[in-house]
Amino acid sequence: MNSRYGKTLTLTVLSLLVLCIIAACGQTKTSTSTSSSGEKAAEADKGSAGTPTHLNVALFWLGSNLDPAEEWNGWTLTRAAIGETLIQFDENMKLVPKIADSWDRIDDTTWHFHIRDGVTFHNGNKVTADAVKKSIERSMELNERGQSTLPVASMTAEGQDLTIKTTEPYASLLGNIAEPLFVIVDTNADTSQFKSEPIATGPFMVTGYTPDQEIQVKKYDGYWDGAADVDTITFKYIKDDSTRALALQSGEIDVASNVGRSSLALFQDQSQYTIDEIPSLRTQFVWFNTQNPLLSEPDVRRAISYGIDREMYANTLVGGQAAKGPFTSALPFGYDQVKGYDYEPETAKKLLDEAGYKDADGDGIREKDGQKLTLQLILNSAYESDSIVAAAMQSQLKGIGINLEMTSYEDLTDHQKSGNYDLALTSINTGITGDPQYILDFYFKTGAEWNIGGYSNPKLDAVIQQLHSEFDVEKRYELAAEAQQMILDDAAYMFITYTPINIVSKSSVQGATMYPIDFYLLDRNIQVGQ
Amino acid sequence: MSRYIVKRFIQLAAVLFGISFLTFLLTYLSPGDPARLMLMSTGVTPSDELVQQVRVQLGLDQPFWIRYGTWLGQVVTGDLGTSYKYDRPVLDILLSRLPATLRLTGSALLLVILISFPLGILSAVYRNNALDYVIRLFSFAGLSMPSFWLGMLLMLIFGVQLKLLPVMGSSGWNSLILPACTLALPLIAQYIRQIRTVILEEMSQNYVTGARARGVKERVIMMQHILPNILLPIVTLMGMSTGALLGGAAIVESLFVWPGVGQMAVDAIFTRDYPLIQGYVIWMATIYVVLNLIVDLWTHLHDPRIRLDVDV
Amino acid sequence: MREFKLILTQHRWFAFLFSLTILWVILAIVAPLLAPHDPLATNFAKVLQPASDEYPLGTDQLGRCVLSRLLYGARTSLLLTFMMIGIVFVLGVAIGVIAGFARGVTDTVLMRLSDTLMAFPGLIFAIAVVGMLGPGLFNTVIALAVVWWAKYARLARSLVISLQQKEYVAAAAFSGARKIQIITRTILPNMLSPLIVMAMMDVGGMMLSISGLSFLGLGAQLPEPEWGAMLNEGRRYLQTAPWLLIYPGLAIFCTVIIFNLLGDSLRDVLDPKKKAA
Repeated sequence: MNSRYGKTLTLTVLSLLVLCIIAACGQTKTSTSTSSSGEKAAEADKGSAGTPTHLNVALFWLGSNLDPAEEWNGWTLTRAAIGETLIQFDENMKLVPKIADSWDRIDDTTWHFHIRDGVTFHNGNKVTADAVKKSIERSMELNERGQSTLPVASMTAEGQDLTIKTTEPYASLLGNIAEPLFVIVDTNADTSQFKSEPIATGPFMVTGYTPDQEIQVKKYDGYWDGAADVDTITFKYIKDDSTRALALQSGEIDVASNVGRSSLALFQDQSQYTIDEIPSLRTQFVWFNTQNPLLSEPDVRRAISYGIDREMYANTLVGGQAAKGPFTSALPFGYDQVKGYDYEPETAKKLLDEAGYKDADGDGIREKDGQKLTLQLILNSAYESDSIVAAAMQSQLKGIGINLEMTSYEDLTDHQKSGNYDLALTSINTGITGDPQYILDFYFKTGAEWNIGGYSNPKLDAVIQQLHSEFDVEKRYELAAEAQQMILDDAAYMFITYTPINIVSKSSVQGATMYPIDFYLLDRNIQVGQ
Repeated sequence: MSRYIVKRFIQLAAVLFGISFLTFLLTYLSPGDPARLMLMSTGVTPSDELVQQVRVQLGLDQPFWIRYGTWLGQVVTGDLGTSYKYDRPVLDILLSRLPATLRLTGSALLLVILISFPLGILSAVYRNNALDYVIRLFSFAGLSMPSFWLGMLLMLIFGVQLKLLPVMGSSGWNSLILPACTLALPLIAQYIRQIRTVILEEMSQNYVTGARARGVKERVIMMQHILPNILLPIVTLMGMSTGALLGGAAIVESLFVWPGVGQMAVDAIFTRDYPLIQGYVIWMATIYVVLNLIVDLWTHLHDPRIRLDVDV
Repeated sequence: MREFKLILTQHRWFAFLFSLTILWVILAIVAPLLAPHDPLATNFAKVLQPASDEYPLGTDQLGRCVLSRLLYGARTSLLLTFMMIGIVFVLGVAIGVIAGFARGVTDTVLMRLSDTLMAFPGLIFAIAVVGMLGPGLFNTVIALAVVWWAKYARLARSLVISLQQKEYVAAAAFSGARKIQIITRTILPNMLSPLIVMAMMDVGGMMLSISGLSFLGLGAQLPEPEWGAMLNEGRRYLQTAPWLLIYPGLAIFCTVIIFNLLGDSLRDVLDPKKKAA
């Protein structure tokens, strides 16, 4: 009686278990077969002409699907060299022709682009101005960022000529049309498939896609700039940067983007790996809440700015470069001319003394009129480099008599918008449009949406206003430099370091170009050599 | 009997309802705006206007009751909503991630059975022997170890130093070994002790003494009487553990980047992907409650002596 | 108290473990005296150094002394765990007693509630609660406590119900004692031992949960030294500075093992059946 039911019970449970495992195995057999074939091909990556070459690349970010019109997914397409925009940025942040081979500005609100002859979509269809127009319209329609990124009033297409009329004079049109949201796709193809198989114009085309895991591509022979050298690539999504490093070490990956700084030391062997590191467009950005009486005096803010050693943070702690203004050195906005804050603790102490903050009770923290110089710093828990820098700032500021208390949050917005902070630190991409106007308007103008510190300088506002109507590119850059200097002199914000980005690849991989702008990772130049 | 079953089903529904409500309430009260988080995923600060647009799109501007009611209505028809982040039906995502978790869980359970049974039996049979102490020490260690620490140590030793096993991904049997071991170890430790205790209890029963007196061999006693009798409590325990395991041991999956249901859940919480969180919680709760019910029913069915106190 | 002394003298293993535990707790309390450095003091010249004379267990990514942080972290971990046990115990027992006495609708409602909470994927629930209250060690404890009390409530309730049927309780009622007196004088004392055993055995589990949440980034705030958080920070240095991982994990491991052994031993001591064997 007992043993019988006991036996049946065990049998049932065990068989359920076995069924589960079989079911799971059955499901994954399909995905294993693709990846194992990928792995086999990887063995052959030192191939000579004749054996197909294959590359495994780790992506640090993957969108929700592969349709460039949705959300930020276009960025994946440009990074994976699957899709292109009319114009793109090169490694020096200069605009270069891609699908459009020339352009000019007719008047304040009219722009003309000539679409290159000989560009074809992955399905062989020719790219005409009309195809471009329809693709841009589709992006605008499907994405809420469309209109604000590209304020289009109307577009006309004739043969290979595309004319765009904007709703107002918009000097940053060129930079914005390079946003991967406007990757050109063939609207005549079956667009419902675009989530897993977009038809674009890049050197590689999609052959397989597992959402949130990997993309398989093969080279597109009809690419307008000549077919790429690598035959197939598998892009794997590895979110965690130390895991990416591990995967590169174990050989599962040939190229890893953004290997964590803590793991870079593992790849120092130059015969095996190549490390390429440049400053990106990301800045560690600190707002001062000028409404706080402690921070309303510029001298206190300047003292804080002098009280931290940006060089040391960049060299020893988080990599990258010591920051001056809000725009990184990768951008041609006058980085060399601008004067920032070096580490000068004595100057800082003097400024604080003069402002009336003295440490009367000997506890190491200055006070004035009985109020201690204690400040609340909020930071974003998403960025590890921010946490490290904040801790370092805390201990250095203690050295000049300021007590910094820190709290990290996943999302700072509520605190920022309600003024519930003294210093707010996060990492911000300040060069995304390749043009200074948007950022200055968004963060620094009086009353700007993200000018949450309450900063106001009418002279700065005037300079920013000039940008709106200045179309000469060099002059724009000069205005940007001027604006940066004003911001720095007022010390209403602090910029700590410019975040580095890197690509680490096996030494057999060549041709990997490093782009400061996040849009791009691989291009047709990627090669797997001997 | 059937009245009992009906009663249990009603309770099941009540518990599920309660859980879904609680989760919904929690996520509603939670700070953090999924719309903003979505828009900031590339490091570019969105304008307030844009954020508001997306919020409306996602239905986040509706009051609590309307949102809960809509969701409830959808769930009843089998539609678990659409994930904010992935823009795909939650059910699809859950189902696509399930095989990975099943593989992990199944392998871990297999390991647990294969290792803890023999060791538990040995420990009981050779009780208070050196072997027993060694096994008990080992199982104690296993219980006390933080699983994430163990996982990282295993990664370090087998993945990096010895380069024997891959440390991530889900392709092939190799990458299954480390996460399965990490997941299995605490359970093995727990089960060894349970099995040992239960066997010892059985062994002190009268019929065992009687059998011994009759001259029945020790091994026969073990195989034919003791083991079958302990199967029930052990299987009950396993049933409950399976529930927790199937939920996806979140930490292990996060550590090894195993594309299962647990990792999905942790991720969803950090990105405030409410529909996904809700879907996951309902799924977990349903499994737990249904498993409990099955085990209880089976027990009652085959051994009415065991009083199924509904309230306890 | 006398009974306790009796237990200590009769059960040597338990006595040993108990004194070990006390020693551990004392160590945690006097940590500041033993630590060679200020746990928050950074030293940018000696970042990520392995063990040396100056820094017996090495330094972390900001040049802070690992040993000092471990010692200070002990206080945090122990303090939090005991706080959590306290909350869970009091809350759980109170609810269990109420349910056990009141019966009827109150009982059903409370038990359904605890059922619901136990059916919840515990860790995920805790993450969600912390997400709601904001990160921080204190909030982590609250989050975990909200889920753990259910276990104690159930046990307390079934103890209350079974005790109510005992003769001496009925006797007390007959002799005119008030309900409160019955509860405090006869029922509670007899309930305590299984509950205490459960609590002791849970210490380890609670500590693991707290550090688990810190590991996921939700518990300790910078630059607070807490073992789970240290493991989280050390994770990316798995290959370059493994000591950042090994020692905090070891610390958690040792502490949890001691408490588990203690709880186990306590259960053996208090279990009448085992006394016979």
